Amino acid sequence: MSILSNIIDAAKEVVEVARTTAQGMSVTLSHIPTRKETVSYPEEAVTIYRRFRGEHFLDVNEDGKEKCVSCFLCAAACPADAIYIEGAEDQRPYEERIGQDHRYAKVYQIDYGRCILCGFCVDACPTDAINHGHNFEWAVFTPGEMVKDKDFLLANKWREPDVTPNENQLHLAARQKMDKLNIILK
Amino acid sequence: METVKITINGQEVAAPKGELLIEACEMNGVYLPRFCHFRGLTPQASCRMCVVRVDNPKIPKLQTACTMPVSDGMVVTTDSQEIEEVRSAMIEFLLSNHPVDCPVCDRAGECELQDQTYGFGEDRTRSQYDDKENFLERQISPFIYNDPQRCVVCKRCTRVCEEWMDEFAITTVNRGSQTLISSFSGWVECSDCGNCVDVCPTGTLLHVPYKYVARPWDLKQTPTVCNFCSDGCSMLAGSRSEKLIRTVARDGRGRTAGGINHDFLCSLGRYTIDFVHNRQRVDRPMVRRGEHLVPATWDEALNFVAQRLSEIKAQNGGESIGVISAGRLMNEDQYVLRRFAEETIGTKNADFYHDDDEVDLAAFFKYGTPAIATQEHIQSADTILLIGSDPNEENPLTAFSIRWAVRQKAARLVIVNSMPSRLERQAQTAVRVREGSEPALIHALVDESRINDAASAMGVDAGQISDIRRVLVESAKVVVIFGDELRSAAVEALALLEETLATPNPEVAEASRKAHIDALQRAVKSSNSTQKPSINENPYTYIVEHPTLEVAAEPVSSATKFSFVPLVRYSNSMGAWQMGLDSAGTGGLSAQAMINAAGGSIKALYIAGEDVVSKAGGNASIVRSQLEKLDLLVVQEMFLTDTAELADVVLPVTSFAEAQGTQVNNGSQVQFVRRTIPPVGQARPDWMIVTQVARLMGTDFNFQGQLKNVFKEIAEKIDGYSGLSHNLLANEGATIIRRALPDSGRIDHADLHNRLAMLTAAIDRSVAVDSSELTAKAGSRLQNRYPLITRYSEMISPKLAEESALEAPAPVIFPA
Ligand code: SF4
Ligand code: SF4
Ligand code: SF4
Ligand code: SF4
Ligand code: SF4
Ligand code: FES
Repeated sequence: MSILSNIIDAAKEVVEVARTTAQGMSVTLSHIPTRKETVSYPEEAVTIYRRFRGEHFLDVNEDGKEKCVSCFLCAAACPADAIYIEGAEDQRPYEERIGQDHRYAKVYQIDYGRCILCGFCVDACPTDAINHGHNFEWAVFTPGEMVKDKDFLLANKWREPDVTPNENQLHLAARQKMDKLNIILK
Repeated sequence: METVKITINGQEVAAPKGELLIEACEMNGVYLPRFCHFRGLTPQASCRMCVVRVDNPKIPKLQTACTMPVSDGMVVTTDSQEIEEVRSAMIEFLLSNHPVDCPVCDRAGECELQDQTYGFGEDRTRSQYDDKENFLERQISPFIYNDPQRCVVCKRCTRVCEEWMDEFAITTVNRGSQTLISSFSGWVECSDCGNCVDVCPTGTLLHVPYKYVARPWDLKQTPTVCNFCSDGCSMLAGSRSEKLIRTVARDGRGRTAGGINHDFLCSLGRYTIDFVHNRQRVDRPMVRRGEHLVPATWDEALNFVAQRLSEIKAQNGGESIGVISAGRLMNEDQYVLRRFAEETIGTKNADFYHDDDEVDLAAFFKYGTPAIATQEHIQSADTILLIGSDPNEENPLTAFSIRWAVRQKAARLVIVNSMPSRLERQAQTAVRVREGSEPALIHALVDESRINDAASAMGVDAGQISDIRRVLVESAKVVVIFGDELRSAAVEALALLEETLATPNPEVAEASRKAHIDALQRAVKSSNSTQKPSINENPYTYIVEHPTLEVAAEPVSSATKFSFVPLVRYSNSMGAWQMGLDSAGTGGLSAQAMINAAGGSIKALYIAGEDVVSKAGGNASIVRSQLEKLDLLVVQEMFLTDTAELADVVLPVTSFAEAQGTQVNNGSQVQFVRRTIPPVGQARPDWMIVTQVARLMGTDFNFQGQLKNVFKEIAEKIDGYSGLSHNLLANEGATIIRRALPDSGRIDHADLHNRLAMLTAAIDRSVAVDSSELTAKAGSRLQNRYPLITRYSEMISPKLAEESALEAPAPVIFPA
């Protein structure tokens, strides 16, 4: 008697386990054909929010003049001391010179080994010269390569998926041959 | 000091009598905003930022604290609704016509307009004024940029140029909102001191070499001391990324406390510093291989030097080796060189290079150390006697202090010179004498009976000389400033002034001073009753218009009636003397005599930091051929100078910006020079190199590679230095070195008078007195004064070429 009831209890349990498992799996399995969450990066593009703070780019204006006036405010605001600038003077008339002002940055470096992507520099900039782009690919072999120079940061702008240079800016876009970011902006 | 009691914002405090209210408030911790007020300049009262309310029914309006002297019982309110409104309205007006281009303005970060807008202004403006004046930025001198839009017309710059520099090189033009600072001819012709730029509260005047280079908050600011003339201005050296970028003056108090020079620097201290980064710097040791100097390692070079010196010493004895240093090397270097000469080499032939036409320190200190006047003493002097020098072009800070004394303290300035000087405009008496006859004045002063003789030797009226003598007798305190033109016996005889020109009694001095001030007041009043006499016409305007200010500051004076300023040539000539690296002290050959004896009794020379070839001027080829006769020439240098090129070994040394140490100025004040940047290339400090050579030669000075151990020993061994240490000096700023006063008992009067008479007799009376007006451009001699260094400054060297090359040095005595 007692043996029989034991067998019945065990069978009930098996059935119960099978039922709940099937129920749980049905939820899981029901998602498989509907939404694909995994991206096979880097073969495929990742989707990134517009407000994502990625690697910076230095902006140029409509005439292709660098917006940065080398005011050092970004460097002053930076809590990580990641920005290094050397200012210089360019006395040529507007058409010929590099920046939008006589004052421009001869050297502009951001050390991504230090940068914490806080965005303070972007807030501080009086000319909107420095902006966050969306790049996050920083794998390098030596720490020195983490330091990005001005040309790189300028070219970063043209890597943004939704930015195309106008004719005044074309020569800048060609300065560093870099591919568009493999991202989808959302 | 006499003080009065005033009440500031309900709190009773003490203030020096006659002091300006704005300064009195600051002394008591209440900062009043200001643009036009600047300590040491005539009140201007144009910005109205300093307004306060004085509780007095007779003064119903707000008052400018920068023009109001304090008086006993004054009750002042500096902070109230009403005052706040006025201040912020003033700032709003200023900003309504200001470009507000701080991001591209070099002053941003240390701009007083920025600071005061933050402190006392509003965060937004009510005026939408699109019609701002738009003047173009321009360069107005090789060293100055001018962006007229940013000017707040405080006129600090023009007043500095007039009152500190006496140059009148810039002025305001136009009126109203169109007012701008301008030069007269479009290009500023001046001594390029750059003080106008430093005092400018806004970014209107800017330094060319500093333009867009860095930001003040980015600079590492190191307090240090200028390395050119012997005034020893304290300055803040700003460096970034291991590069020396700029220097600014250190105020005696306030902004950058600790300096001796208020806010003053001259063109050398300010603009010549770029020599430090000249690409021609020797950056590694060089050893001669045949014809050429080739780079070597430190070990090779030092071993070579030690070995060759030991060989020569063994062969010919220590006396065949000479050690020569430069007057600009620091105390520690001089001291170690002296020990090196004495102990390691065993030679008496050790000397710091000084020409015969430089101030003779050996004569000056012959009987002990006379009272030496510092800049502070000069600034509060009663009477100043200037002989045989033009500080304007030689020691600019001294010239500044003299003007300060005349303008602010109504000091009497007496000049006896053979050359024209701009200071004559400030002088009460200026006597132009025959070239080389200045010593005769001292003869006349110490011996009244010789006035006629001396006057005829000098080519002037005997009456003029007796007048000078009378003024000196009647003065309570006299500062005697003398330069290169006063020679040997005359310098020695300065020790006699104290007894020969004693004031009979204090009343005489007081009466004479009062008569002087009265005469000034009469002169200023009668000059034109309606129009204010310009400062140009009358340097005493200031004192007469603000008579109470004269008593404000406590006069700083020495215990003796006479105190002296020997205008020695190099930044540390005085220190070299005190360290005993002088042939007069060691009893050996002088630097020139060593060169003379090269190839004869002198077989090897160890020269630290002096270009003896170029210094010989016309005799350069003789010196060169002398040096070629040496068995060994070791040169410690920053550059491959003409001397270094002849050397067997050149050891690269640090410049003043890369080394630490102490330096003594012409006021006998020792100051601490800090390391601003790391050494360029493989350069090492002079003292360290010498210590290393000495160790290789078997003498260990036991400094353990520590500079402070060198100074510890100096403090123990050198007279006047006891109790001093680097730590102390670094905190204290300039510290006076006191040594024993002259012992008049040791003076052999008859002999001294004899030698004075010989000096007077030797004066060539056929020379005409140069009574010409000063025509040379201000600063041209100054910028040529240290050509051996300044030619490596890219800022100044174009000017050297332009100003017809180097001053011809006086002939040195060399064999034909
Ligand atoms: S994002 Fe932040 S940490 Fe990075 S450079 Fe800008 S201020 Fe510095
Ligand atoms: S990026 Fe912007 S904040 Fe930075 S220096 Fe340039 S202008 Fe100034
Ligand atoms: S640099 Fe000196 S001398 Fe020249 S304008 Fe300015 S204050 Fe005057
Ligand atoms: S240039 Fe500077 S110092 Fe001169 S008046 Fe203008 S703001 Fe004042
Ligand atoms: S006055 Fe003399 S010490 Fe002062 S900055 Fe000029 S050279 Fe240097
Ligand atoms: S500081 Fe008093 S009016 Fe300018």
